[in-house]
Amino acid sequence: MLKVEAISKAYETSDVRTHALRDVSFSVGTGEFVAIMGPSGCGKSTLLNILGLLDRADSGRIEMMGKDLSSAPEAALTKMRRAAIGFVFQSFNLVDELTVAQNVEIGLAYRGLPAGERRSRIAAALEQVGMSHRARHKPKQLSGGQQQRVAVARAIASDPRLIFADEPTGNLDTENGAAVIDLLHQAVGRGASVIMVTHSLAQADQADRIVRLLDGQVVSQTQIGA
Amino acid sequence: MRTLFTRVLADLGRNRLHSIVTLAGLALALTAAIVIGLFVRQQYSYEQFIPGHERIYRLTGSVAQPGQAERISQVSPPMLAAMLRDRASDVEGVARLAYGFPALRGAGQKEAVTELKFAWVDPYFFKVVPLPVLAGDPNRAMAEPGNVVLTRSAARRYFGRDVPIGAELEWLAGRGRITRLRVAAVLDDLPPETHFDRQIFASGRTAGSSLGYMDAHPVPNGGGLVYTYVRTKPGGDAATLQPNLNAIIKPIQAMAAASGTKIKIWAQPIAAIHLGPGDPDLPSAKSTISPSTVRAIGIVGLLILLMAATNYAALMTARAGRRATEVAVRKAAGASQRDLIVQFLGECLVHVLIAMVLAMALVELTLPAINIVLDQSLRFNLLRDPMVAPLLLLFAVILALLAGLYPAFALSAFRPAIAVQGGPQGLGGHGIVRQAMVIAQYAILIGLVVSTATIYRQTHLALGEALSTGRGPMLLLVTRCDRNIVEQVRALPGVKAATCASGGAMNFTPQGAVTAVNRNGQRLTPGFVEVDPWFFGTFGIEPIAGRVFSLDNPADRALHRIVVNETAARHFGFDTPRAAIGQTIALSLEVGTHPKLESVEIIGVVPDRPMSVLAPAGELIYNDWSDAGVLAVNSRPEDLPVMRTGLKRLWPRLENDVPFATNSLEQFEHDRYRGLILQGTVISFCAALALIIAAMGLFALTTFMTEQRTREIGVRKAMGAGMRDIMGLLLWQFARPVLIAALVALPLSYLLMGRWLEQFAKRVPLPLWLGAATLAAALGLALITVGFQVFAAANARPARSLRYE
Repeated sequence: MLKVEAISKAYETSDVRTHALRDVSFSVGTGEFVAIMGPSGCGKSTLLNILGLLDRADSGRIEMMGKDLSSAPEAALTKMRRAAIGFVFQSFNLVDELTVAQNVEIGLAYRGLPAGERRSRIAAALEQVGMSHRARHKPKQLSGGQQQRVAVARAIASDPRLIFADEPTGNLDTENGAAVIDLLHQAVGRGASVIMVTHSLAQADQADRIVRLLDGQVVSQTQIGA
Repeated sequence: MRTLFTRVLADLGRNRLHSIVTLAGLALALTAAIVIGLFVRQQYSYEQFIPGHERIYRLTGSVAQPGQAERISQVSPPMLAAMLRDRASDVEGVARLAYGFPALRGAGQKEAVTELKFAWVDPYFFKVVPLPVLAGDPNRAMAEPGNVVLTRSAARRYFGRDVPIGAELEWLAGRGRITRLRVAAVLDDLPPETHFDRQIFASGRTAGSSLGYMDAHPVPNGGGLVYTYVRTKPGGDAATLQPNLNAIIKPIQAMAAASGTKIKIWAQPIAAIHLGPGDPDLPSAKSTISPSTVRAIGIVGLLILLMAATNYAALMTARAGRRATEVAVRKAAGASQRDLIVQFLGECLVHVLIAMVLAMALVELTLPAINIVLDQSLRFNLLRDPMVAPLLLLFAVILALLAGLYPAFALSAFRPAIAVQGGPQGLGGHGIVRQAMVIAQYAILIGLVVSTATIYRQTHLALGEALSTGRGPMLLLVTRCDRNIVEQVRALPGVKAATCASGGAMNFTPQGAVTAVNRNGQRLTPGFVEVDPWFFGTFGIEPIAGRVFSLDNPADRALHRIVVNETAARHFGFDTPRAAIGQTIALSLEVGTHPKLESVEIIGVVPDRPMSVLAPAGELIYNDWSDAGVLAVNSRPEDLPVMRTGLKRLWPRLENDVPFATNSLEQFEHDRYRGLILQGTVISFCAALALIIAAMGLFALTTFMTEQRTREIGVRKAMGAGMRDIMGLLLWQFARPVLIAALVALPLSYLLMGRWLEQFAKRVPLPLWLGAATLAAALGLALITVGFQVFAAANARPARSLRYE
């Protein structure tokens, strides 16, 4: 499903060049739940952004669903994101001016689906995350847990092949966090692959594999329950 | 206050782009408002420098002849002054002023000039109208024949010094006669805020003066250009004068009624002259301005201020979220909403005061150029003019309230608990208000653009209708004029054409009136002008039926043959212009109860050439008569210097006693539309300013709102949005207010411009394409202003957008 080889990425400010990633290589299979762990600043979010085609590596190779996207133009990356990818962010990133249903619709807006199909998918996604009764509410009227569930609904509404989640439970309590992880598992059950960045060992343990990063490098990959 | 200043200055340093835009927008609007305020104030302050001006009136009348529009006249019958003086007990003084255009030179000088700023006045004129004195006693001066009173400028012109008391002017009165005029007093130069434009006042008791001539040769219904000024006693006013005027005018009204003519007379306060309809009897007099024009310009100034205020308010509410924590902390420390409102209003006032200082500097820098462009004499003197500082303070307070009240309420309403947790601040409602403010700005801009375009088109039409249009330079010389002179002039190098005609034929002076009886037996009083055979060719007027006067037809040179305009042909009872050719009507050069009528033949019909687009064309009769008083000489632009030189060399050989002095017909016709041109210039200037303010405001708002949506853009791109999707989303956000603004502003503009155009007899249409073009321009402005930032935002990498805080 997803394969990266020798990915490197550096950020430059006026004084300092920071190597966020160095020669990172690993792969993710279909229906696999991979957790990426590591201390703050080790490059987890950078890696996730590159895997999710939100950013480009300075060097290395990235292959997604059999396509080499290493030096693909932006239009090709957009097409892939549109077709196959869903995102869940740590700080929810819901649009305050839109209702819950409209926020979920963002995940479908660029796929060219007819209005009727969009409506039914939104309803299904909200039903799945248990937020149907709040479809007309605005994000500011929801709790943190509820907002993150809406964000998950947005990510899964288009039935993506890959879901990238960047510390999806970072701002949630244990109960809400568990509920979100459960939703991600349900997506895996439907055939999606999930790559999740997390600080929580308890949540990482619920993945199929843990990839540990340190100083921008993969230091270990542990199969869980193997 | 010091804390406020410190806070504001710190904020200005932190947010430079927004600060520059905020202050620049306010400063530009204040500059426009100050200049417009000076202009409006000047228009309403005419004659106030004259002591007791509120008790000084000028007699004004109107004449409505059958079938013609009512015509206002500022002149009055010469004998009216004496009759009023005898009759009215609440009159302190009555005096007359008659314009003259004598040839004058300083004693001992060789060259004489036609003095255009000359007037004959009654002995007690300066008792009635006490103008500011520099030296001598003007009242005593005017009591003696042969005395003149000069203004300082005239004194410098003729004698090179300010106070030439005792010096003499020579009046070349024609046929070799020279009359000496002695300088007996000098006035200070009159301020611009007066309708008086004369610089030389001569005693009407002087032998040969027009006042003396009129007194010696009274005609029953008046005659001559005499302006009558009345000064009432304290307690008297126009209302107390009116019964006396009505009683005096009664016999004249009865006489006029016999020919169906209605005459009225009333006393006009001199301060209202400048805001009146102008002087149709002396088109070359100082131009007036209509109150509606002044009001329109004033309203435009207020709209510009309103625009800057909404700009400021929109920007401040857009940035409101950044101050949420501060508000929360202040409220937690015990500040009430009222305390915060006062604080934020105070900050706004500081912004406005800083902008006001910038604006004052801008006004100082640009006022000389503005005065040249607008042909005005506005003065901005903070120290010497006691009204300026209070006015500026008033502007500042009004603007601060307009701009700051809404943001102050919005900011002070933040809920502290949510703010300290970093949550959203429920600005959804305020977003709607902000949109409304952007819409209001664009509505004002669209309105100004439509107004500018309409005024420009109407001005273009008005100037295009002028006689001189398309002919090239046309010089006018007021002189004795016969065919011999015209033929000599036509032979000069550089002369394209020349003609001799009465001033009325060229709309330079009023047209005469005669009595005509049409085929239905109806009596009319058409305009009557004298021309020579070269007239129609010189002005490119082709007959639409029959022919015009010709040198090959000597019989044309008599009253018995006339050329008429289209309106005359129609009113004389002919169905078509062609039907009038060879027909006769009854005509008399007299206007009165029993004019002696003679039969005249119509040999040609020419197109209507109305005096201005403000009034419909009346009936006009042309007669071939050679000794008319204005020589018009036409050349190509490149030949003008050669033509002028040749004319000047020829002049002494013509033995006509009149000094060589030229006027430009084109300039004269432009002056007729000075009010219209002024209105158009001011409104275009304000439209351009509005465009800049709108663009600046939108630019800053876009920057801010695009920043606010950076994360959302990142999310949308993560969800698969391409660059076009993002650009479309953001551009639509900024285009929508423009479309809504157009829906509101276009119908309103069309309605207002339609009403404005009603004052013109000939007017431009208001086509739909004008609205479409304005909308396109407004959209174009919006898209160009925001386009670059939107493109940059849409092009950013999603990861960067998502990391944005």
